[in-house]
Amino acid sequence: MTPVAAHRIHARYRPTAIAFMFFAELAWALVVATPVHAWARRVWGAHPDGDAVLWIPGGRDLLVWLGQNDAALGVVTRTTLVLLVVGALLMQVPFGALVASLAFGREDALEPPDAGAQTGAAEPDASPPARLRSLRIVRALKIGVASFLPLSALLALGSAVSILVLAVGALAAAGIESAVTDSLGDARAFTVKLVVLALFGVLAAAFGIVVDLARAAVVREQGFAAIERTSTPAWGTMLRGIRAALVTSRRGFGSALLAWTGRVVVGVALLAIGYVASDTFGGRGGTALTLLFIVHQGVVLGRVALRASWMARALSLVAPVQDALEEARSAQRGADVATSER
Amino acid sequence: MQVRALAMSVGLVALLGTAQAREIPGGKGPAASDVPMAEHAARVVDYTLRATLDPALHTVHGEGSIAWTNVSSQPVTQLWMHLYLNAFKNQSSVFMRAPIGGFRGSTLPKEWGTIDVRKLTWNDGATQHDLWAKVQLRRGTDEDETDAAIPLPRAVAPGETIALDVVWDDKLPSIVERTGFDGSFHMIAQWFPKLAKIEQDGTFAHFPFQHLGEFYADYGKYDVTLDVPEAFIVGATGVVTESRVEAGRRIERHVQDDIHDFAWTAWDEFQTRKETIDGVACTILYPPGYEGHAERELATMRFALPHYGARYGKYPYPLLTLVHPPASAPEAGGMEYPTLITTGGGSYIVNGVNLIELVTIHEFGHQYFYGLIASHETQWPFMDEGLNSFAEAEAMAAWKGPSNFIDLLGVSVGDSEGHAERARHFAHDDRVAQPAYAFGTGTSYGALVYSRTATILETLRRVYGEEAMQKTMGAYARRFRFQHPVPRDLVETFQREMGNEAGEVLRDALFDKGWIDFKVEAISSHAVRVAAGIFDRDGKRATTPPDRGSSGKYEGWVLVNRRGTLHLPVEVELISEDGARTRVPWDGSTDSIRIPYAGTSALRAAVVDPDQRVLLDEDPENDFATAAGHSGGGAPRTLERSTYWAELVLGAIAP
Repeated sequence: MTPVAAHRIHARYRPTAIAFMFFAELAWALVVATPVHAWARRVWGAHPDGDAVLWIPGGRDLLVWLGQNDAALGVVTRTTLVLLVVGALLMQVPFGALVASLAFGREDALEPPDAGAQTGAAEPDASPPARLRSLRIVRALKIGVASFLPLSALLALGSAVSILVLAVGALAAAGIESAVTDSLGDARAFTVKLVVLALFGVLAAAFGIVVDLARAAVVREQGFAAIERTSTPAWGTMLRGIRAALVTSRRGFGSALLAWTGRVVVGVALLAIGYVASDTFGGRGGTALTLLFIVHQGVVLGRVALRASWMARALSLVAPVQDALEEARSAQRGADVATSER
Repeated sequence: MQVRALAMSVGLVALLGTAQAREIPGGKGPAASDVPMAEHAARVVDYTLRATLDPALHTVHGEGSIAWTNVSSQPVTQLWMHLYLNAFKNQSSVFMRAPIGGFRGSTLPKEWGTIDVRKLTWNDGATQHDLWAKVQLRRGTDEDETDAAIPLPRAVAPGETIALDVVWDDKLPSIVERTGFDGSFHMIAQWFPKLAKIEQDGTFAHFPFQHLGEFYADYGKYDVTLDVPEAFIVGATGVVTESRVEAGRRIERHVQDDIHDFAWTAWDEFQTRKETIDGVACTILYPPGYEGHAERELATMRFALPHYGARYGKYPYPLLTLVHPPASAPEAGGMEYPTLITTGGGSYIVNGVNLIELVTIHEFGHQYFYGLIASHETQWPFMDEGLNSFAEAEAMAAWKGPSNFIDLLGVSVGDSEGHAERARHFAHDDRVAQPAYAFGTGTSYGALVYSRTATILETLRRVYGEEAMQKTMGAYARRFRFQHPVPRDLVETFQREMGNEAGEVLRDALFDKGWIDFKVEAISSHAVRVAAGIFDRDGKRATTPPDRGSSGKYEGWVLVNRRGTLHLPVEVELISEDGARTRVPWDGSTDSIRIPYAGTSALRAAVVDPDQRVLLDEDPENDFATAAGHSGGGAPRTLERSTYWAELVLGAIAP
């Protein structure tokens, strides 16, 4: 296993890893969907038209189903939420594997590597990219498993900070709206509120970008640990990842923001396609339902690919910084050893 | 879908009614548009008032005269006067002390409101009588001051008209329910001393201002001059006949005949849009920045004015003012007064959720079911709110189709279906037809008065047909224009126009908590075997061996139960294994029916009321059954959608 040169990290070289992530997500989504599906099947499954009645315009049966004061509603809601949280944690493993697959390859390259391919600190050049073979899935998964704790900690930290930022934003927006309503009127005050909320949203997104950079650094460090057959404590890995992410952000946050925003825009466009498909096919079954499933899964696959593409970019941004920091750390360690020997 | 008649089932027609094909009783009568419609109301009380607003103190000084005619058959020795604003005077008013939640007006006003009558005199030509000197403002120890009794120095004979002079002062409350102020925005309703409505027998329909109750009054002419600071824009009931600015004051005179209330609004921030629609001058008054709302409200009126005109008779007034209150004064929204309605909706408009349209149509509908058909709103609230909710849902469906309330993210919800679901949970709690103050909670009031009534009427429309419903409601609206109908008038109209069965359903559902639940109880079918043995047929003897096998035919039955007290015709759909679907009508007169089946394949499933006509059906989840050994359609759509959404959520929270 060997690291891929920073400028040669591309999601398009790792279709298998993207497909693996997609199928992992699909598999867990099926688990998450099971309680709702079981509930719908129990109530409406025996109807000759099945749950098509829930999509009849007017929504009478849909309202009846959701408004039935059925104990199942509470159970289904709670179970689904728990499954989503568990799934969010479990998905850290395939996510770690995906990032590991982007950051590392096997030594037997598909094409001869150029001079800088063996080091993450390589500078970009004009030669065609040397493609390293993808890691074997088991190898990538091992790195994913090793990255589980620091990635989960980053997930928790990132979620908590995002929620905090958005909550503060909501409070600030409400306060500012209230303060300017008399002078600006309801509608303009509401626009001001939206702008304030959007600013905090951007702040939360910016923090999310830093967390993604930290994720990239964390997985990359676990990859190096695997190469060196050492292990690093999760907490330390996470802290070093955050440090690398912060340094990277300081040096090139604009580039990261641009890369992230572009992919978000495409992701939203994909969601719009999914929405139009839902709207078009409605509650039809048979071939229409199959087509809808294909379109929806295409949307999800596209979004997973976008995520992989973004993480590839995050890796290429964070790798030089991380390597420099590691070099400095090694030098410091060497100096410390020399000092102690003296 | 293959639909065919089930006439092949022997004796079936004799067993079953002909629900959908029946001739509507009364259907040969005149169309609703032929029903004579009064051009004017009988004039009982005329108000000539002048009101001066102080927007800084939030007070209104009023004075003027009231000409009242005793239109009853009895001499009257005492008048009754509503002083509605005193509902907000203290926590001892009937309004404030009602332990009612779950509806509007449940918060205490930040500033109390009062109406103080300074003078009420009657000059009968010989003497100036000070009527207010003998007023009975309270009853016993009750501190409510919204329902004043005013003894007269002599009886007023039937047909006699008296002239009263009145002077009063309002202190407007901060907006708590329909009326009051919010900053410089003023919504001024229930603001003047208002005579209670006199009934034919000489009694007055007087009542304290009830928390859930609304109003009731006689028709007359209102000639009101409003005096506000120049910077304020006024919206008010009635046509502006004079408008001028004098010494920094804007003075507008509004005159309107054939109405039974007067409300107005004044705000120095109103924006205005005007458009003549179907001959009616529509004005939208709205806060700055609400141009989008105003456009949607105008679009609603472009549909609603001609639609309601065709259904319930032409809107008779030359103007209509729509007031969109500021977001900080939502309690002023969603209310109706003659020729003036208040709408509502927050700053943000969601496309795909037609709340603004729904509220606007609802409030406009009150121009008919309240304004022109002036039933007693406190005593029989379903007659205005309920009928109007039906009219609102009917209009929304006619305008925007079945997904008329929500059409967003693949979710489709109709207004009627929303009413049906809301009402379903309260069907056994209380009667629909009862006074507003008899309801235990605001929630049950809302669900039964608004939604249950709308669902009852929508069920009748779907069961007996659009044409019959239009004819019936059209006849009711025209016959009782400028009248004060009571529930009996409504039920009799349905009996006459739609038939006794429909009338009975309406009466039971309104007065006796009538309910209904169809259920497919059991379903069975089997292959018809060729009978074995010796048979003498056509002069020949033949022996059929046993186990000759299937005849290729199937027979069976479906057992459908009707629980509840209402009897409504319905269809039952039988679905064969080969996909054939057959509709069988049932008149619903008995508690259950066993519908025979005969076909060329086994019976797979049955659905009662497949077109969802009976919205009153209490449990639609038991409206179908699948035969043993067969499976239904399952829930693949739910699985597909929930999997997709789960993937999106997972992707969002765990990148």
